[in-house]
This record gives sequence, structure tokens and C-alpha cells, in this order.
Amino acid sequence: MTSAIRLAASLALLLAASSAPGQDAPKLTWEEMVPAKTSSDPLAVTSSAPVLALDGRTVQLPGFIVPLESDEGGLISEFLLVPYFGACIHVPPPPPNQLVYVTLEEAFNLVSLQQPYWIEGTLQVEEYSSEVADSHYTMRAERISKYNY
Amino acid sequence: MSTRFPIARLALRSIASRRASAALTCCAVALSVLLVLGVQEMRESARQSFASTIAGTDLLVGPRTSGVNLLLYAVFRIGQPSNNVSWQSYERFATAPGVDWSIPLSLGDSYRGHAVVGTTEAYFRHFRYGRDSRLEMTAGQAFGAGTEAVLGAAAARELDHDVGDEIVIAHGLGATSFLKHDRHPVTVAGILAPTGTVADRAVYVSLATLDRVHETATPSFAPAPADDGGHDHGTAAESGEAGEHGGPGEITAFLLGLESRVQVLRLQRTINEYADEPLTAVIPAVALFELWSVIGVAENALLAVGALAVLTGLVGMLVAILGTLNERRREMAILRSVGARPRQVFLLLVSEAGLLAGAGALLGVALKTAVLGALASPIQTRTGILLESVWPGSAEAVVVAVVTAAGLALGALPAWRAYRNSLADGMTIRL
Repeated sequence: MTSAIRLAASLALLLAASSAPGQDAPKLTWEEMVPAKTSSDPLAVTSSAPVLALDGRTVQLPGFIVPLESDEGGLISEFLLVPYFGACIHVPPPPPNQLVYVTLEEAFNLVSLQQPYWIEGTLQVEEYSSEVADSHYTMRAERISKYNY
Repeated sequence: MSTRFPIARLALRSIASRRASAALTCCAVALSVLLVLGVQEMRESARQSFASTIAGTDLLVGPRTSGVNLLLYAVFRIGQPSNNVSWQSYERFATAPGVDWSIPLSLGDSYRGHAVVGTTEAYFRHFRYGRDSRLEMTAGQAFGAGTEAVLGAAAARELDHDVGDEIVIAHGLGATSFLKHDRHPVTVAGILAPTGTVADRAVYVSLATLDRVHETATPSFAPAPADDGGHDHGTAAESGEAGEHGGPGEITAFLLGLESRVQVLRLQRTINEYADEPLTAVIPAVALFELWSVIGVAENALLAVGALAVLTGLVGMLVAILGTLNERRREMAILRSVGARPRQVFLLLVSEAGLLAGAGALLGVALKTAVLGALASPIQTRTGILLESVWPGSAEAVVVAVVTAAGLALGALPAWRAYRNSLADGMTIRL
């Protein structure tokens, strides 16, 4: 009897653990990653700095993947998450607060560069003050799922 | 009842009584299995070899061309460089803010069929392959500024060279050239540990050495101050005669490592829009991914051909079994007369088909092991692709299981015919 209860409890725990992050992590938009304008002037330069308040927040963020590193089997293990496809060629690259440097626990199989994904994990703000590197977002991805239009 | 009719033994005996046709059927299945396993093995090994060739490099920069093309000729040494990059452009970006390290690459010469790569000793310090592994020396050391060479593991083995040997670099990419730079022998300074990539097959010399063998107008290459890794400067005096500053006129491509990977898109943009020279900068992982997308189609087509070949082999087996059914009606009737049920006749034929398919698949695995075992070394010599798992593994087990299962399933067709026959014929037979 007790073993049955224990089994049921562990099953329930397992279910909770597998479904919880998907429901819990709030969805973040790229607009929220730009600090609010201090001036009301529409021509004011928007900041390229990250929003410090986002540091440590577990979120889901949709975006396109620019692979940086792949493992021996061709699976992607590090990438940049950007808000629009073709961030590498046609237009100036996104400002530092519009890309996230993502590292993965387990390399994953990227289907296509054109396929957007939901990336879930804890955002971190990496602060730099040197002239060559800017502060930016990093994330250790916990879950990756295809973005359905 | 079934104990009186050991189906498996009967099936074995039945196959044994028709050895010749059974052996041929087995061979057909085995060859098709060899095809599908061979394609799969080559595909995986090639992919692994390509994916392992470069790691930890943020940007690959070359003349204006496509990213995949640049990756192919600069990193995998497949195809020809279309153009060169000026030394000024290299210096401009190698010293750009945020650039941590840079490796210039100068290709286009050969030594007895092995590509000669002109570079600096930054190559041995910063180049990574596989999962962020560094290059190691098994013997000797990296070259300094003198006319020395470092050999990849496979190059050293095939050419039978050791530290201290003198080699003469030939101009051009062929196995030999009729314009040899005979007057400038190069001493082997070191030999790299095997990496399982194309790096094993190359001969590395300093840019100064390459210039010297070409006797260009601006012959000297002075290592950048940042490159001072405490290597032996004893040979620097030799090259000092040609001039203190300035590098070779042109290089083929260069690799950049950044302090922060987040900057990669911005620097890539800057290089691609560089007004002084048309350049292409690609993120190696992106170019590699694009390459997979192109190759993936061909790979899948090859696998589909392999799968169809297996199906053809199995259908051939089916035809062989069906063809014998009529002549075996008497055999079935005898089995029935000694107490076999129609169900057991059915099982007998299904297990014959399963045995043939399973034996064929096993033979195919054995053939594949033998063939790839024999070809592994020539394939590596010719293509640099290291066949990783020549020994059968889980993939082979899956193929054997699938082919056997498919054989059993297809065997149901003649078995059903035999079942119907034996119901109709009973113990007597009207032929």
C-alpha cells in the first residue's frame, strides 16, 4: 500500500517537474529588453544597454539562432539568439541588448536557420565596461522548442 | 505438438537442402545491407570529420566568395582559393579592438601531394579542433622564424619523415611540380599529434619560409609583437636579412578569435563592408551548418537508395521462396501426414524467410566490417576522413533486427500460400 502511494507521489512529482517550467516561465518580448526611453523625444537615441532588472529572471524568449559552435556530430552547442532572421547579412547587426549569447547543457539538432525557436532559461546580464565589449545578455538554455507561427 | 515439430530445425534443414539458391539469396541481402551500412558509415564519419576540423574560431575571413566555399577551401582544403587577401587587410583586422588572436593562412603549395600551409606559430597556440582540443606536438617543436616545417601526423607517417629531415616544397597543388624550390630546403622542426582531421595531412611552414621559397619582392615576415610566445628566437637572425617589417604581400585567408563572442556579428559586418578590399567573413559554425543543409539532401537520397536496395534483396528472397512452393507441395503433404498442422507449415515458411534474411544481414555486417576495415587506411590517406567505428555497433544491430523482421513479415506471403495449399491438399496431393 505504502509503495503504491510512494509510486503515485513520485509520478505526480515527475509530472509536475516536467510540465511546470513551461507554464511558469513568463514570455519575454524583445522590446522589453531595451531600457525605457528617458526622454519623450521620438528621435532620442534608444539605449543599447541591457535592462539590469532582467538579470536572474527565468523567461521564455522567441528568436532565430545563429550557431557559434557545434559538436562532433554537427549538433549546436552555443549560439546567438536574435530577433530577426538574416541578422548576419542584410542589415546592421542587432544592438547588444537585442541578442542573447546562449550556451546549452546538451547540444541540440538545429533544423534550419530560418526556423525560430522558444528558448527558456535564466537571463543574465554580463557587465563590461571596456571600450571593445558591451554589456549583454547571456542565457543557459534549459529548454528549446520550435516556435509555431 | 510443437515439440514434435522443431520448426527452427526443420527450417534450417530445409534451407540446407537448397544450399545454392539459399546462399545466393543470402548474398543478395548481404550486399544490400553492405550498401546501406557503408553509406551510413561514410556519412557519419565524414560529418564527424568535418564537424571536428574547426572549433573555437569566431570568424573565418577570406576574399569575397560564398561562406561555404571559403570554409571548404580554407579549412577543409577542398577546391581552389579564388583570390587572396592583402597583408594590410589582415593586419588591420588582426589588430582590431576586441580581437583576441588571429591566424593567417597561406595555401597553394604542396609537398609530395600534401598541402603546404603557410602560417605563424599562432596556429599551434590558438587553433582548436574537435571539442575545443588544442594541437599537440608528438616530437620537436613549433617553427620559429627560420625555414622550418611542422608536419601533421598523417603527413609525417606517409612521407616517413622525422624531426631534422630536410624537405623541398613544390609550387602548386599537385603531387609533384616541375617548378621546385630546390634551393630552399626546409627542415622538419616538429610533428603534430593525430587529430583525425585534415590538419593531419598538412605540412606547416612559416609565412616567411613560403615567401622565401617563392622569392617574392617583400620576402620577410616579422611575427607580430603580440605573438611572442617565448619560442626559440635563435633562427630569427637568418630571416632578419630580408627586412624587419612588413609581411608577405598576400595570404589566402585568416581566422579570428574574439574576446567576447557577442561581438561577432558586428565585426563580421565591419569586415564584410570593408571598403578597401572586398572580403568575406563567416562564422564557421554557420557555414558548416549551411554545408550540412546542402549535403543533407544528397545524404538522404543515398540512404533512400540503400533502403531500396535492401527491399530489392528481400523481394528477391521472396521470389526464390515463392518459386519453390509448388515443388514443395509434396514435402508439405508429408509434413501434414506425420502430424504437422497447417499453422506449423505456415510457421516453417515464415521462419525460413526470417533465417535467410537474418543470415543475409549478418553476412552483410561481416562484409561491411571487412571492407571498411580494409579501406579505412586508404580512405584516410585520400580524404583525411577517419572511419571511426569500423566494428559493428548498435546501428548494425538495428539494421540486422529490421532486415530480419522485414524478412519474417515478407515470409508471411509464401507462408500463407503454403498454408492454403496444405489446407486444400490435405495429406494427398493432386498435381
